[in-house]
Amino acid sequence: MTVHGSPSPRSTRVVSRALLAAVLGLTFAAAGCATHVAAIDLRDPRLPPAARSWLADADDTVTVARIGVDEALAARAHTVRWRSRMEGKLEWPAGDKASQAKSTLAAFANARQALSDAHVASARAALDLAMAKRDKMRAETALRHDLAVYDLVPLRKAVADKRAALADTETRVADARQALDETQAAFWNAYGAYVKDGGDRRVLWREVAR
Amino acid sequence: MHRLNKLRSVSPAPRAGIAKAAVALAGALIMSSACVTTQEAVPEPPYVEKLRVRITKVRGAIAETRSTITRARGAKNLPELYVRLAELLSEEARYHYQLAFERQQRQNKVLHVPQVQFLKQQAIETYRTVLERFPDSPLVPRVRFNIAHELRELGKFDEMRVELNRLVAKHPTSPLATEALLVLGDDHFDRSKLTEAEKKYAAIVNKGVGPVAGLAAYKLAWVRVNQGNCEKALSDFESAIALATRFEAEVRAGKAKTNGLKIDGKAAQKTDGRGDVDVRRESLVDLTYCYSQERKPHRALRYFKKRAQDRATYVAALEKLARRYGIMEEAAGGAMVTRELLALGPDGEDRMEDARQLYASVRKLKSYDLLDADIALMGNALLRHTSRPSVSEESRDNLRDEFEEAMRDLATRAQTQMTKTRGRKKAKRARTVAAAYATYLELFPDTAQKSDVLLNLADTLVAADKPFRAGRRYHDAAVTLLAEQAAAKAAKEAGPDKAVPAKPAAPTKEAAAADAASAIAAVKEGKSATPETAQDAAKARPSKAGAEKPGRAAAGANASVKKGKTGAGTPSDDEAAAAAQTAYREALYDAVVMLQRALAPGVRLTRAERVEARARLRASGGALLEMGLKGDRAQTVAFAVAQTFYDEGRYDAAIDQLSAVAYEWPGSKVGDAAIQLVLDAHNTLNDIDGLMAAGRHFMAKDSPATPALRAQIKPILAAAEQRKLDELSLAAAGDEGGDFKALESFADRYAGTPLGERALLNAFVAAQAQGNAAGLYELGDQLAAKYPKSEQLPGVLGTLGQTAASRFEVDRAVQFFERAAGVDATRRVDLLVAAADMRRELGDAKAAKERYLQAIAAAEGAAAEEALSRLSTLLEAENNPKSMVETLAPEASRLPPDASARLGLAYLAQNMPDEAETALQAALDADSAGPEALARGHLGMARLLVRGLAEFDPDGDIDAIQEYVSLIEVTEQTLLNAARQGDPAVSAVAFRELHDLGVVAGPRLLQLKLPDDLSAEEKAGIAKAFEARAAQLSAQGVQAIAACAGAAWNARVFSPVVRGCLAGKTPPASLAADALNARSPRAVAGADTHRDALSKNPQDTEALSGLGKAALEGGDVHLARLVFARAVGAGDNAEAANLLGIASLRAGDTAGALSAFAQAAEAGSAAGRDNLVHVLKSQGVPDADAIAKERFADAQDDGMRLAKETP
Repeated sequence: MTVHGSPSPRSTRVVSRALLAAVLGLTFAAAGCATHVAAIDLRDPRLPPAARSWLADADDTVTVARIGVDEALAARAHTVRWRSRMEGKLEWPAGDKASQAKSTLAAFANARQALSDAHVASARAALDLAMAKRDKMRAETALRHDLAVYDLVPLRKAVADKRAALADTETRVADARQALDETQAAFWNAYGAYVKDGGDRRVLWREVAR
Repeated sequence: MHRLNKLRSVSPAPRAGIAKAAVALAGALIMSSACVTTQEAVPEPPYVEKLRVRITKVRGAIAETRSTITRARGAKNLPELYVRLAELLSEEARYHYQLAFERQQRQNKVLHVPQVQFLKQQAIETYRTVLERFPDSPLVPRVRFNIAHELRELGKFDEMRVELNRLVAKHPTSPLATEALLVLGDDHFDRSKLTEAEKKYAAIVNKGVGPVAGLAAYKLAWVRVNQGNCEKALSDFESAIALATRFEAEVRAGKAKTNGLKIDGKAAQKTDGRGDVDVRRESLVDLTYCYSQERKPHRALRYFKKRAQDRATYVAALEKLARRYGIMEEAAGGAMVTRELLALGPDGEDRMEDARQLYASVRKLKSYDLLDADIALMGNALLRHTSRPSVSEESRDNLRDEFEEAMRDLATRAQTQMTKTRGRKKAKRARTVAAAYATYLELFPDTAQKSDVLLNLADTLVAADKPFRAGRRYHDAAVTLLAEQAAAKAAKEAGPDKAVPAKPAAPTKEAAAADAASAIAAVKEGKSATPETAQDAAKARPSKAGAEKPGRAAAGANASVKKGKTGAGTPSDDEAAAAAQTAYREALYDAVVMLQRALAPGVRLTRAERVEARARLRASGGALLEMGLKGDRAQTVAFAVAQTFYDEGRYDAAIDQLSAVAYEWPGSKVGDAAIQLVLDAHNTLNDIDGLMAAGRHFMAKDSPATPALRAQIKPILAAAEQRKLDELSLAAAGDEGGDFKALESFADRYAGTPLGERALLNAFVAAQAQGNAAGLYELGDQLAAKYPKSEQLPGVLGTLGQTAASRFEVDRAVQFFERAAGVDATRRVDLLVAAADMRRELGDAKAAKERYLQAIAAAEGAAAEEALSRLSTLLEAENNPKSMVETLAPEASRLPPDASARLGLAYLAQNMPDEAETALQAALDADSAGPEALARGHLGMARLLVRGLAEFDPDGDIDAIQEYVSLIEVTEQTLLNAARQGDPAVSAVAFRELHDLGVVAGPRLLQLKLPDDLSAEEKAGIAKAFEARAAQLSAQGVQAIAACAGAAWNARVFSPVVRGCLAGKTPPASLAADALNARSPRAVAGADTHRDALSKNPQDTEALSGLGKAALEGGDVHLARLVFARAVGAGDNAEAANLLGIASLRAGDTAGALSAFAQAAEAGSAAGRDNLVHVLKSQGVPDADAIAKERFADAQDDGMRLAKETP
């Protein structure tokens, strides 16, 4: 059935699979270059209570950080909806003051969105750091109690890198916060001027009725 | 497969055959069933036939009885046989009568039936036969009674009365006598001979309890009624009930017999031929007439309930009483009774009648205290009745319409009345009216008047102080009004043909005014409106929650006034629409106000109610604001709506909406309240940044806040900023800290303020905690530059000095210490001393001396002791007694013991023995004198003694000689005492001077002139002793040099005098030390890394070693010396000590170098040992090699060696 000299479809598939396996293997191997730290069973009898406590605390920190990410995402979703309403559904009348208020509101909304994004990034960075610290804690514990052998250098570096990344995101949060403060103040000043000029006050209240 | 194929191969024909067979079978079954004869319905035989059969049977009985009588002549039972015959004849007569009655289709009871008369006549004759033939028979009373009965039926009433009277007269004790009286009474009653009837009935009643006593009393009561004597009639009815009750009780107890009368459990009594009569029920029902005449209605229910044996009787009596009151127009009684009937009575049309009467009664009474219950009763009755299948749809609708209007009418009237009352009574009435309205709305949810009723209900709830429920109803009303408007608009657009009649608009402010005007006009014109309703309408007020308003949607005449229909004309469509719009807006506003009030602190609401209240408030307020509300109402509503977000914990939305309120009504009370809530929302969210931003914004020039509020915001903002600073500090100091840039930024933002200063300080603390020296110096500089008057600046500079010192940034450390001393009065002495110490170690003795002097000048009292002690040490090391005396003599009063001792030695050097003795004695006498002070004190005293010895000349006086010898002894002991005090440097000098004592005092002894008066032998003896003593002193002197040199190995003291002793010389007995070379600061390559490590751990031996080596290689030997000194102290002995020795040697500290080498050699360093030997040789110690090899035989070959370096 098979014609010699030309690969059959079956053999082609075999070759393809072999190549894929090789690529995957190389990929995993490359990934394996990074230090992988196995989880430690807290019930391991070789662990003293203090070590268990440390490990559990590291796990707790990761969990708390995950919750922080979820909360930041939820807050951002809320902000996105609010921004959508502010930008798309408010019915501003014509006029300079109204136009000014509208444009400053857009900037205000953008700033609030940016702050939410920054909070999400910060929360994720905090999670990354918590996970890196947990890996380091596991590795140190394993070494301390002869459970496994790890190279701590990359783990320490990872913690330092994540910490630096977190610091960067916190800077971003601070910048976004400042931008929000400024744009918010600008909007309310513009809105106050708009109202003082006899502008329609229903603009910000229609959404409430709906 | 085959079977399947086979089955499939079956032709259609057989299948058709099967179907046909099935059809045939079915047909056969049907046919066979059709063949069965159906059962014919056989009706019951007609009553006529039954009567005929009975006639036949009774005739047979008559014939048989007659036959028996014929055969029973003389028998005892003959009277019974005659009586039986007569009764059978009477029975046959009755059958004939009934037969004739049936034949007449029951149309006429007055019949001429010859058989009846004949048979009854025969019966009478038969009875009379008994009377004649058997006058003593016990059957006589019965016979007479039956004769009377037959005579009555024959219409022979006179004869009947005669016969009955005869029965009563001749047989008064017979039960039938009572029956006869009853019949006679009835007969008189029928003939309106009431007096006679009264006598007959009374005769029965007077006999007491009996089978017909109750009935007689009942009939007697009716006689009284007919006589117009209701008082007695009422009494007789009561007697009838009582007698019947007692008789029943006796029968049940077996004490009485019924005489054939039925007792059905309800005390039924049989009258003569008139069927069963429930005397108690009939009496109770019939007495209602007289009761209504004679008694007050308010006790009626209790009266009848007490006398009724069951609910049916009670209800029957009340029904009659209710009608009676209705006729009498007795409203109070009617209302009371109909309420009871509506509650207890069975469903039916009667209840509808009761409800109508209740409505009429309540309306007439104008008492609405029970209106809620009345409406409920009426509603329940209506529901029950209209739910019956027997009630037609039309009737049902009519009833609903009728009662909808009635209930609405009552409720609105009650509301009107309620508005006129005050205080608690008003609240109570309001609750009642509200309950009535609520019931009404449940009964008629789709009423055309729904919105008006809802508004009325809301108004009453306001009066009842039920803000939540009022707000809810106002909101419901608004929603309903909106729906009605939409429906009206749709109807209008649909055109007049399809238009649905819109319900009249609810009265509004304007409409109410028009209503009032029209009502008053109507009153003046004498039209339908009553003065009362006109006043109600005149009280109409603008819709405002809490204001009293007359009822809307009033029914009937009430409605005609309220609706403005009388005289005002029908409003146009536009007017109606405008009015409806106004009503809608008013309802929304009232809802907002009420719900806001309900949500106020202190109002008790369930959690669900709160949620509902907020949602309704937001919906109402939002709708109002969307309509473009203006004025005070707008701000009230906007604030209330925004506040709902706050109350619900939706702080983000609350902040936005409350900010909108603040900017829309700047400088107002509402605006201020909104701003306060904005700040509170930020605070609750723990959003300090937001709080600060909002606070700053509201404090700004264009802020909507009033000046008073700004004054309140200021401390809030300050607190927020402080809190922010604390959080930043906390974050900077925490595990994830390391970045105090945020604090620095914060400090920049608040530069020049206390907060900025605090931020900078916290950043400084964070940098210190992190070991970030560069940051620390930078922040310290900032603090000093920006806050030169900061109370914390001295501490900061001191910390910087210590940090620099710990990092061996010695120049910077000295600067910081000196700067700190310049600003910190309290620690100035310590800081100057620290700076001076460091300068001294760096070889700048002059500057060190200046700092010590500054410290001494700045210090007060005992605070100067440390500086004086350090200065005296410095001057001693310089061997500058003149300067010592000049500097310390003025400070004698506050010199510490060691400084005093050094001053004493300086005085001696300056040839001032008296001052020296004073200073030395002061040092020795001081309680706090330490080894340094004591050693120098004794050394000074020894030197004074030596001066005394030198000046002492016994001149042949034996006593003086003895004194001289003793003086030598004391001097010797004083020196030894100085050596024993534990100060190695002083010990070496003391030994060195002990050597001199031996050298000087021994030969002097041998040269002393002895007294002339001694014998030769005595002189020889003394001379011998002196020789021995001199030899001893000489030997002691040699030993003292050795002891002096021994200090090098015992205490690793290699001071110049010790080095001299080691060299076998007799060096000057001085406490002077090696003078350090002047330092030339140089940059030390690679020092920062080690310094950073030392910032985190000052005892890091690796860093210390690295830094020391770098300094040594860089040529900063003074720095290296300090670094290695700490390294040795930290435990890095051998190598560090060796390097310390090298650094010290190069710095000019030969003694220190030798000491360090010795320590290194002791720790096993061959390099240290070799270096030690090298330096000792340079100091002229000939046998240094031998000594070192002997002492440090086990040293290993390592470390740095000196090549040609010498001190």
